[in-house]
Amino acid sequence: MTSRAEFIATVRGRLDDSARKETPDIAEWSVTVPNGAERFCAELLAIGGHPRLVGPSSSELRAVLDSILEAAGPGPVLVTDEDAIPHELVPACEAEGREVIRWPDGNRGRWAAAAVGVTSCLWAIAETGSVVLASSLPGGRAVSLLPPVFVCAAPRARLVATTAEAFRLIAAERPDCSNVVIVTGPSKSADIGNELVQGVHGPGEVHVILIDEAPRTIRVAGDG
Amino acid sequence: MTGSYDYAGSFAGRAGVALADPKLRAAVASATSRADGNRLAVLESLADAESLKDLAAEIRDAVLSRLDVHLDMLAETWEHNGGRIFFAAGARDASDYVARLATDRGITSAIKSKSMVSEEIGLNETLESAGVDVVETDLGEYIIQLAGDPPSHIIAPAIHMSKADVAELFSQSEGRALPEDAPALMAYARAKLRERFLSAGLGISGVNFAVSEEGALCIVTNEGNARMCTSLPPVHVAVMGMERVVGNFDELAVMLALLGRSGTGQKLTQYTTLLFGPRRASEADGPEESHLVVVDAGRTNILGTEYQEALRCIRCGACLNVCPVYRQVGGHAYDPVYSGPIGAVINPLLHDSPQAAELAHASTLCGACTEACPVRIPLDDLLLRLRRDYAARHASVTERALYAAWSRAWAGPRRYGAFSALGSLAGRLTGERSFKRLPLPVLGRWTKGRSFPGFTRSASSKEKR
Repeated sequence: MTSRAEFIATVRGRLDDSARKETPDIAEWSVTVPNGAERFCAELLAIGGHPRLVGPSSSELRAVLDSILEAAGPGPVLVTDEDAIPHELVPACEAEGREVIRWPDGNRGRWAAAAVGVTSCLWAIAETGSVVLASSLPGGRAVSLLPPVFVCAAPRARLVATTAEAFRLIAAERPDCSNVVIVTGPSKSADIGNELVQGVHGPGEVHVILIDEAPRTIRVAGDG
Repeated sequence: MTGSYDYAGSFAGRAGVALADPKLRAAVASATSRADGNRLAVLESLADAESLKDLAAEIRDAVLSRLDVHLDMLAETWEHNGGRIFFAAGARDASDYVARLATDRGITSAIKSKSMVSEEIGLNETLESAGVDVVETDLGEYIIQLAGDPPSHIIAPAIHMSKADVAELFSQSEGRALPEDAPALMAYARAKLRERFLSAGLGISGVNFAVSEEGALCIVTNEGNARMCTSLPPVHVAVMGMERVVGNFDELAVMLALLGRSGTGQKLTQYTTLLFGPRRASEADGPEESHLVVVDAGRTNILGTEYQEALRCIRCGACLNVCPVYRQVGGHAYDPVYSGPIGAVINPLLHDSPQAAELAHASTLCGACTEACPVRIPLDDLLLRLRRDYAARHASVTERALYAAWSRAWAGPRRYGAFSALGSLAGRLTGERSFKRLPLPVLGRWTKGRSFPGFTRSASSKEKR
């Protein structure tokens, strides 16, 4: 049995002090991504996800949610209490007679039985069609993981250009949580005869709704 | 399709088994060429892939040159985040630690996401003998665990099996006929494994990169099984080779940009999971305990030697997909753990055995591996150095004498001229332009798998002038 100190001393013993190299300067290496929202949608579509660009109209958002729920299998909707979750979600579920579980109510058995999980995100990444999620409340791990359909509501302002930029933000803001996950489209595998299939363990169906919320915010401010 | 590989025997013997299996060859050929096509296509989405590879190699070299500092820092930051860390000098230390984690807590059911280092340390065998039932959850690993096969590719462990093979295997295991249909077979595995995910006491994962300044582990999967293994059970343990470290998130971003592109032709793998220790008080789910096992198991033998560049490896599998030898024989011809060019390099360095040592010869030295490598490991050059070491240890007296004679024959113009005149005379006498078999005991073996080029009069006389 070796201790940490012994282990590291053994490693040190193998290294030549004169051969130590400084960490290279990592300049801007990443691609530039103009037209972020369009690029995001094209990337997510290309990897089997469902992007939706939605304007400020509430009826448009409701229509998108209705279409997702109609196509989903039976079972409750598991939803976080994040700010960016559309207000139209609960009425859309009620209209369908679908139960809503507000995360983290219930238990794992109930979460696993949900047909749809709905969260928001820290950021969305245009270069890869990804969303970045944190595990701390009001978010959580199971919502985006256990149900077969995952819906992420992303305010357009949270769209960043590249993964490199997303990692700079994660480093700078260091969200206080045990897990940050970058979800890039649906769960997939080619392990059976090299044929691509979706939904192996994580959700096989991923919708990201990019919401242009600015005009609505202005209206709310004006009303107040 | 299973169990027919003799790892105590020779590469040639195992390669012979693979070459005689047309289904295996078709499966490996189609999967590797598709993966390589995807790799080349998606590398183009980078502004300058070649410069990025240079940068990635530089990052890996800098980390390796200061590995002691990084590991010390990682221990500090990981513990600061509430994680526990264990340094395992030997393979056995590592697998025993994981088994004790389970038995001390009365855990009898474990789920595992794909980890090559866990294959290296024989983790599943140790757990089974400690009474812990462990199930592989990567679909490919699940398939080969059922089949009793070792992995045949670093990132696609069941690459050697066709859809029909999988249907037959699942049908046997389930006791009813399942259709030869990929989505149906996947749905079957999903349902089986979902039960295990929700009930297991221990989740085991590998690590793609540990980030020393942040106390973070990065694990990537396409299926989401690593998210399951690191989110659902109350205890999570991650096992990593000690070299799999980067300093910070900027460095990680560079590595990930190349890992997905080089391995599967993806800009980013579907799930990139960053773990910062166990669940926080402000969280509703996640493991209560989070352990990290850092494994040496022969790696310090590589550090500080002329083979250190092999430790840059990020296990993308690109060198397998481009290798003309791997593409013909698949992974089982190599070693139970690592196959392809990187396997031929690191197996003999990690464990000293004649079986591993001869793998350096399982290469044409064409250099396709080196060209594909995203961290610029000079694989063909390392293979050549391993052959030199092999010859120094294993060459027989006859072989040495023959090579010495050969080298003397080429050392001066007169001797060279006499030698090639002899060669072209032999060619004229036999009427052969090349020799399919040389009529000598040792040289006869050399021509078993290749022809010896003949001498032409013009070439030899031109050289004489």
